[in-house]
Amino acid sequence: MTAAPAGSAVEGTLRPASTVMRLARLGAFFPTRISFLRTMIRRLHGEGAVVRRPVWRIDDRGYGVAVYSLDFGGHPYSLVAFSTELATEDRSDRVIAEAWDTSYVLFDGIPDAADIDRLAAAVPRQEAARYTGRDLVLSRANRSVRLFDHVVDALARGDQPDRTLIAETGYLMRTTAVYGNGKFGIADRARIAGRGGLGGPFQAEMLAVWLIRGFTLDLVEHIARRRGGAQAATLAPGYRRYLGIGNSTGLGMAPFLVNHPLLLHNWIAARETALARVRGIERAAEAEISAFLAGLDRVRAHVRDWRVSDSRQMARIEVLDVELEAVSGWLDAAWLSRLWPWERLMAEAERLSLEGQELLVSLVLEPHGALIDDTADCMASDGEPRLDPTVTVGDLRRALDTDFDWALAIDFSQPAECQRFWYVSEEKSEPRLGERRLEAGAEREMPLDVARRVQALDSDLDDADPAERLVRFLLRHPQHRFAVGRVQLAAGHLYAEIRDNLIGAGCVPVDMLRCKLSFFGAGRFDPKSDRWTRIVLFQGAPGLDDIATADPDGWAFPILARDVAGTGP
Amino acid sequence: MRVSLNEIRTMAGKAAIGAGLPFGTADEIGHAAAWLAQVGQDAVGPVLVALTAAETAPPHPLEPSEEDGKLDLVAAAQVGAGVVDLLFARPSGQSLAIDRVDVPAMLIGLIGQALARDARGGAVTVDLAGGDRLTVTADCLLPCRGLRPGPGGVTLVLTRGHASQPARFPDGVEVDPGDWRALSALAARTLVPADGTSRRRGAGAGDIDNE
Repeated sequence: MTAAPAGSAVEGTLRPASTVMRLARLGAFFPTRISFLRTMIRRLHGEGAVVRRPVWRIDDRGYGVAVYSLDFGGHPYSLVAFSTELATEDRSDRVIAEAWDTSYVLFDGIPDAADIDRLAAAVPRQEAARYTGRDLVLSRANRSVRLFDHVVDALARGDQPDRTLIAETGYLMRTTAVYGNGKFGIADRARIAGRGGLGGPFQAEMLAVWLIRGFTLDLVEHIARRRGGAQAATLAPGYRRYLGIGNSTGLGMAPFLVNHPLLLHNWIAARETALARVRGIERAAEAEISAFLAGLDRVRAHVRDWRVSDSRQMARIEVLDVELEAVSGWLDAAWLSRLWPWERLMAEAERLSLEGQELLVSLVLEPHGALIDDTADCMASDGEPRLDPTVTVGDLRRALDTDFDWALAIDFSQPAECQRFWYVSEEKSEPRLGERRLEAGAEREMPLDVARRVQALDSDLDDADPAERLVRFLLRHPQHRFAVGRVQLAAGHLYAEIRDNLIGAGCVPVDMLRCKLSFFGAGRFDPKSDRWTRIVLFQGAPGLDDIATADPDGWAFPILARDVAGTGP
Repeated sequence: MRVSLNEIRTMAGKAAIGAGLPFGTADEIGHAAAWLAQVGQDAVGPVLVALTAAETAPPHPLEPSEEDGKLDLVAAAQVGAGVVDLLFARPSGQSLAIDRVDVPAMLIGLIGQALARDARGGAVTVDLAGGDRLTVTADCLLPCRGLRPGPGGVTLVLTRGHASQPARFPDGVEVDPGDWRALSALAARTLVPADGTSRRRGAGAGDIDNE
């Protein structure tokens, strides 16, 4: 195999921001092998991680406390899990809920009895309590009642659960929030940013969720065992593998990508660099061709099983299904054995839907770990640099004209282009999206209207002397400091901005959620409206008991094994 | 009460918006508060005083004479970020003298966070009225003692090329509960009352989810 050397000669082949950073495309992203949970699983596997369960004080009904501990990157961490009784009428996935079936902290170290007592008094209360610098991640999860109860009943009888129900739901519990970086007094990200194991983006959160998944599997078997006694069964290995952790995510996640432009650039740049490197392969090796074609077969089965209630997404899935069948009809080992196989394939993919194109991006990356996995090391950020006041107005104007032509093209005099506004609700300080002409609160709008603000800056730059220094311009126009920072950052970071109008009538917020969730590694995207979605994390991933021995990468786009006694999907 | 540095940054930034300051300015104030906390200073008190002053004082735009490097009056929350811009735009080693700053600690926080976010490196000496001299770098404030409250004149000199050390990062800091409540009250002005409209338009999961 010959390839463009990592880190060189690929700049010219990066897809342009005008293509990549459109919201509709971002909303068609799939997880890749450099998604955060994939990276974490590889690291855990590489270290031969061993997960211990030093505390298991769970009663017959499944209520109590458990602690899971492991060493990762040279540091000990523990998940402290609390399971509590929850009234049916209190079980809500909304972030404003006040009680949950289970609640968790990822603890920095091994908790002693006093730590567990402190956490027991706080963690089930979630946002209503305060935490310490040793508490790294705070989370909670509710049972998928239908599946959880069914699995317990089946196992208690000595049976395996119904395959269809497992396939339809895919998880025993779903998290409704996973908090990190200083929320409610927990540790700032800086505490762990320099650590080998958890230094990358959202690695602490991913570790917590992976351990939660293990807890849910242990919990369901524990309850079944207490109920069924000697006749109780344990979950078939194929089911244990297939069951992930669900998650409900709403508008609260949407502003993140806008509020962290450097981080967004780093994520997208890593993905695009990985793609460019693969496209630069002149001749594919047999092993990679085989792995790709096997992945294509697998993803076709995965897509056939992917069924959602949202009509917009279901229509896209149906198109994708047809496209994959068509691609499979002409793509074979001989086609991929000719020169520049991945470049030619991505060129062919441009005829497909956005979902089809982006799914192929994920697929072509999959067999090329040795070539691209290091791109995941460049995805973190310590925060945005401060603006540079020493440049001239003319310098800024050139940067604006170059990188924000898309923003200048929007006609904000049209009501539809500023139909909506983003705001933070009094209700748990959650971000929301309002209708400007119908709802109160637009005067408290969040600055997600980047394009409009850049246009306003552009208008005032018209009246300024190009030779004037920016410092002087900003003294007269302090209201443009935000937009100036965006323009200057974008000048060196081509993927820093979503190149669409986020307050226009055509904005689909759930596209922002899917983009971010794809970088987490979330699958089974299941939108419930244009504003919230369910997804599954770690579905098919190695578990707490086989992380050291299982293939850390062979589980992308999982399908449920026909034989439930199998060892994996 | 103990809060994380991210909470301080976020709350101070929102409070600045709540006090009527532009987003870009508010963002720098949030970073300034976190920097003050990181170097062991009271982060909340000075920000609160500066924001309160910004609310009550009429806007006082800077009209600097760039050549002689002098400013007369500076309201730190309103124009502190602009003062830092002026300082950073001056040649290394040239002073910027200010007759009166309403909250010098706020200005020092803004300088510190600016150095921390500037890859060029540098240190700023701050000569306070009364003869005290402080040195601000990306990660520390020397001498390490509490900043005196109250307005006063300052003279600033930026020297480029100072290499910063990796920052010591505290596991949260103690803040005065009363000050925190006051800052929270300012931040709460950015919130919009909930009326259920967003929910009716499809946001959020069901009130009860027993699937």
